[in-house]
Amino acid sequence: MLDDKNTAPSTTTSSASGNIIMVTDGVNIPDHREWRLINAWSLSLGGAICALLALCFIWPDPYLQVLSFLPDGLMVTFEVTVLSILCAVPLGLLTGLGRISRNSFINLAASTYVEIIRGIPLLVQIFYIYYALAKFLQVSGLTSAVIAISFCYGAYMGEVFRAGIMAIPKGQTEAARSLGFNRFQTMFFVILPQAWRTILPPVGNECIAMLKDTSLVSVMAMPDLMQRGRSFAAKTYLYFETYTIIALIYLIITLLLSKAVSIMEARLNYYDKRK
Amino acid sequence: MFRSLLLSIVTLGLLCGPACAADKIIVASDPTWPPMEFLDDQKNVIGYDPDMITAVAKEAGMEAEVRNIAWDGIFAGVAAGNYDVVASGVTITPEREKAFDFSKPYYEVRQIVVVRKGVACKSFDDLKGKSIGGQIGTTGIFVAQKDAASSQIKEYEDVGLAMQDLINNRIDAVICDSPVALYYANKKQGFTEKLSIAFKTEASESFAFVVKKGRKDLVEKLNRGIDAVRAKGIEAELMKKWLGE
Amino acid sequence: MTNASNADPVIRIEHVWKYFGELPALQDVSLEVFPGQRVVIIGPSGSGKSTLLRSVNRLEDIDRGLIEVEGVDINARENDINKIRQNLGMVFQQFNLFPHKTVLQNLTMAPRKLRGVAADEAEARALSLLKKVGISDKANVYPAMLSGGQQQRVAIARALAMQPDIMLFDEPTSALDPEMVGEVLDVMINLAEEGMTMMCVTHEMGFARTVADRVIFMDKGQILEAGTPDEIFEAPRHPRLKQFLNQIL
Repeated sequence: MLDDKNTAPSTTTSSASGNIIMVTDGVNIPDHREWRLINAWSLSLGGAICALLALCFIWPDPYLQVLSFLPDGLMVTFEVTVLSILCAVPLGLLTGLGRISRNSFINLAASTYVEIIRGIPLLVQIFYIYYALAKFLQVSGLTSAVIAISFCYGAYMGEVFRAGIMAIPKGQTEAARSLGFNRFQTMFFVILPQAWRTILPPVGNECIAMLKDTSLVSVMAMPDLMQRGRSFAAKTYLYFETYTIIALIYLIITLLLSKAVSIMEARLNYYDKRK
Repeated sequence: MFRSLLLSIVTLGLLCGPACAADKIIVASDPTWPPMEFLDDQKNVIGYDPDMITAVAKEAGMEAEVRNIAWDGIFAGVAAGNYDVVASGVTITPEREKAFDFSKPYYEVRQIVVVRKGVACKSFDDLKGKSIGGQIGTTGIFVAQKDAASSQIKEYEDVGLAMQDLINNRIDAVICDSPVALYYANKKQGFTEKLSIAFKTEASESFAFVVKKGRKDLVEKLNRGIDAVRAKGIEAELMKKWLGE
Repeated sequence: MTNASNADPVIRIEHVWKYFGELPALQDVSLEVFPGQRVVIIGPSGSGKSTLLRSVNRLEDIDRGLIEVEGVDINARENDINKIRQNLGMVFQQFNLFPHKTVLQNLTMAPRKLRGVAADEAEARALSLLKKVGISDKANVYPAMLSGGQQQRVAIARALAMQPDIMLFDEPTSALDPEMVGEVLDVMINLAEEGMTMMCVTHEMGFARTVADRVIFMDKGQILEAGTPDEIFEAPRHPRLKQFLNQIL
């Protein structure tokens, strides 16, 4: 209804700002306003599910065999993903806060962490933590996987958090400080609750990218979805069949997750709705 | 490397003359399986298999170029026609025979289980509830999945990483082809003092060269080559060189 | 100004210097504000008047000089600025309401979290403040649904919810559409009539004339002239003030 300059930043659609601070590749977070029946999302999901069902019904041998070989791998994939998200998001928040900290030591520490981690491929980090560090410290495959993935994604998410926090107009901080809130209270009562909705789409995206990247943990002999598939293919030499099923499963999961993120995003937009 | 290859091809061509212009076959080998195939300091694939296929090809009037191909896709590549032959310690199994054609066997192996020194282990029964590692897609893994169902099977990218994890106490045993197990337990620095052979499986396996299904012509040539290599005593020489037999 | 002589100043600004890089934003500024006094600061843009106002609750740090609020040096390390700010209400040009909170929550948040006021008490007080600024029917909507004038009135109520001794206004009507300026000024005039100590940066000369006890004219970071509205508007002495008044009136 009114379009004052000052309200503009806080009312821009979050999907737009989400695109701006997209850090890595991921699936497209569907726009929650997009409820048309036929769109890229429903087409991909419908197609993937139909393809999966059709293959398993028409040629139960081998497709159904492949499928029935995978559930425990899927559980490992989920386990690694969920634990990594639980560690990476707080780490990302801490990193983001560290990156905007006025304390030069904390700032330097956070920035150095981001620089180092962003410069090393995740696969190398996994190898490093599991095989190289084994010389000094032996951790299980699951722990290594979670540490490697959350450290890697914590750095990327730190940038997302930083950008999300920086995107909140300075006036919000000034208003809170002028009421007597200290820096900490201002951050947690005023800035972060608003920053969340700018942060959520790219963080959701990172989480989905993370799920895909868990396929790398098979190098540590972790029996995740990807390794189950490789193992099945290595035994049966049905490469086409196995990897078709694997691809479809990853696709269905990431599509469902991206929808979940978009629904959460819509929830966080409650205070934007005019009238 | 490329230049020297080119040079040797040219010299070969000059020596033989146009009459025996060698057919060239591309050979895939995963050099993570010492002493059958591994990398030397110059990153060339060396070992028993590369030498064997080179000799076999030569006897069959062909020239072999050995390429470094990761195991976890080595069969897909030959099926796709990316190379002609897999010479990488491949055991003949019924499943593999369904999907590929094999030359005649050129080497016999068994599966050997390796454990840390000082650990008592005589059979798969002793490994119940423990973890056994191996290289993904190898017969060792298949044997373990069949005979050690109550153990946890961990599938690694290559057998070296499994050996590493065995030394690091993360797993309790590694299963692999006998030459490889013997190499790690008796020869390889940093491993011999920590590992020992637990037991051998009863069943023996045969290594053979793998080609795409339907390439009978190539199988025939390879078989001819293997016969010749044996007849000329080259095989015995190579066994002595690489396997100490 | 009449009741000023027999009390200590609530705000004392002494020889304050402030630089933005090489640029002096405040040059040797001194000013006293007494209880119940309404001080209005005018001047061309970039004259340092907002900087001066923002220095009073330390949203800007000064480089030299002294600022005391109710006898407390606000820039001294040992004094808790967050406590001092609780007694200094501030209203911004851009309202700066918290968009993720309802109007009512905007008003209750600071008293509840900073003063530990109970929820029902804070709400009752907030509702009476909203009534005072004339928007009690909007208590449960989000700021995005309000007009600019309504938002600014909520912002004033939010500052008042902390029951401050002094109110600072930083060009409170500059971002408003002309038809909404009146409603905000009315609230400010009411506040002045209740005896609130106010420091206000504004371009509304009519407001300055009717409400101010004392008008300060600033230019290029300096106070060039100070006096009653009559002295400033009817008998300006400094040539730059004359020029300024000619331009805007």
